[in-house]
Amino acid sequence: MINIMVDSCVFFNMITYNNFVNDYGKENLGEFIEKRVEKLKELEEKLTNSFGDEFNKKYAHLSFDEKLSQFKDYSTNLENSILSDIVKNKHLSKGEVFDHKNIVYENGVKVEKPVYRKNDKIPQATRNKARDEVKRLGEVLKNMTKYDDIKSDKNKYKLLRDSINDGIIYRDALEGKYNLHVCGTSFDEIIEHTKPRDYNGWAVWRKGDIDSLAKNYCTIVDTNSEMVTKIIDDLAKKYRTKLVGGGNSDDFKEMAEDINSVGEYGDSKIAAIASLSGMTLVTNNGKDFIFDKSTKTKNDKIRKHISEVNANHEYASDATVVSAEELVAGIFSLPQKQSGFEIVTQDSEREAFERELLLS
Amino acid sequence: MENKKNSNIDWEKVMKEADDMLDVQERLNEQLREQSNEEHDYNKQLERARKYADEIGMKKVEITDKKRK
Repeated sequence: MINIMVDSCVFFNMITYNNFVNDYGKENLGEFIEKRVEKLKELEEKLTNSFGDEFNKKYAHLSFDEKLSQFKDYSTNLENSILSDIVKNKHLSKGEVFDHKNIVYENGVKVEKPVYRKNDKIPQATRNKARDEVKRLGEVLKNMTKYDDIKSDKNKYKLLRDSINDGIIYRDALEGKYNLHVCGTSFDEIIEHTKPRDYNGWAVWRKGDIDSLAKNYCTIVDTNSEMVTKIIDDLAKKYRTKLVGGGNSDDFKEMAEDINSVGEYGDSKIAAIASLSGMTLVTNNGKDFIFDKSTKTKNDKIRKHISEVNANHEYASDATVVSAEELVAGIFSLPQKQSGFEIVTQDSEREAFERELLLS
Repeated sequence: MENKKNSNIDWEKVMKEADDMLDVQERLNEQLREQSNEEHDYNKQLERARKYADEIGMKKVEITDKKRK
């Protein structure tokens, strides 16, 4: 059995599948996941149709994921190009042609404003043609799929895909492949989301649903040692600090000074606890733990940074951070360098009490 | 816990409930980037998580300060 640590988002998604098992049994879980996969495929088809024939033909060589990220640039560029042609033709229909650009500053931002001049030599037929072109382009613009039109479906698609991957990991845990763990920082965040807050749209899960998943299938990773707490802080800080010297610094990106939904500097501490526990950390938030989001190209610079810090740290293991998708696809390696600390199993107070009752 | 475990699963209802959970997840994702103005104490948070885990009888492992041999 492989020990893995899940972050709070993965845990929250697993609640759906654990609730299902509680209601309908493990034997039907596979069918539930299958039905959600079908739904994901339907959403993929809907999005592909929305992209339009021209886009699909142009980017036929790309995977669906690549198409999904390409579409924003494509549709924005196309929209801007059509808008620019409309303006140009509007002027032409009035017998005006482009003359020069004026540079102005709007709220401190440099803006180039085209200036048109009258040209009486433009034939009426050309002006009429330009007027028709404005109408035609207006129709094209009205009918084209803009990025905003697919944003909601794109979001739904990503949420559903994460949920399915988390569901598969939960199913595999039930079947004995994984031993699920959650660290104290994540678990505190999780239980905070059972309490309603005076905050617009604060996400709340039922306490009973969280308890059921936590008690039956998860192990909390704790420490009572001040020394270990200091090492966690030290390691987390190193994850958030730019590497100096050694290797090409462009290959690495330090973690952000991000905080979690309950205000704690969560991500880097979660990664540190996972490493010191010798466990692969599974997340849906690749942008926090794996990818450098400041660059558009595919990368895993944050993961590389974490691995580099781990390799040179006295106590850290070389356990890595993976997305749920990577874990499901089997794209991960088990740690070879062990944590410098011993990890021991502890009875919870309730377990100890129940055992005592049993023995007496 | 009562298990219904019947063969006549109302899939429409099940799928609708699962979709509703995704809406909650979406709200959480939005909140993940919202900074709370509250003061947070890491040790208090851990203590709270530990206490809760104890109450529900969750399994526990501990990172000790004993060096691995």
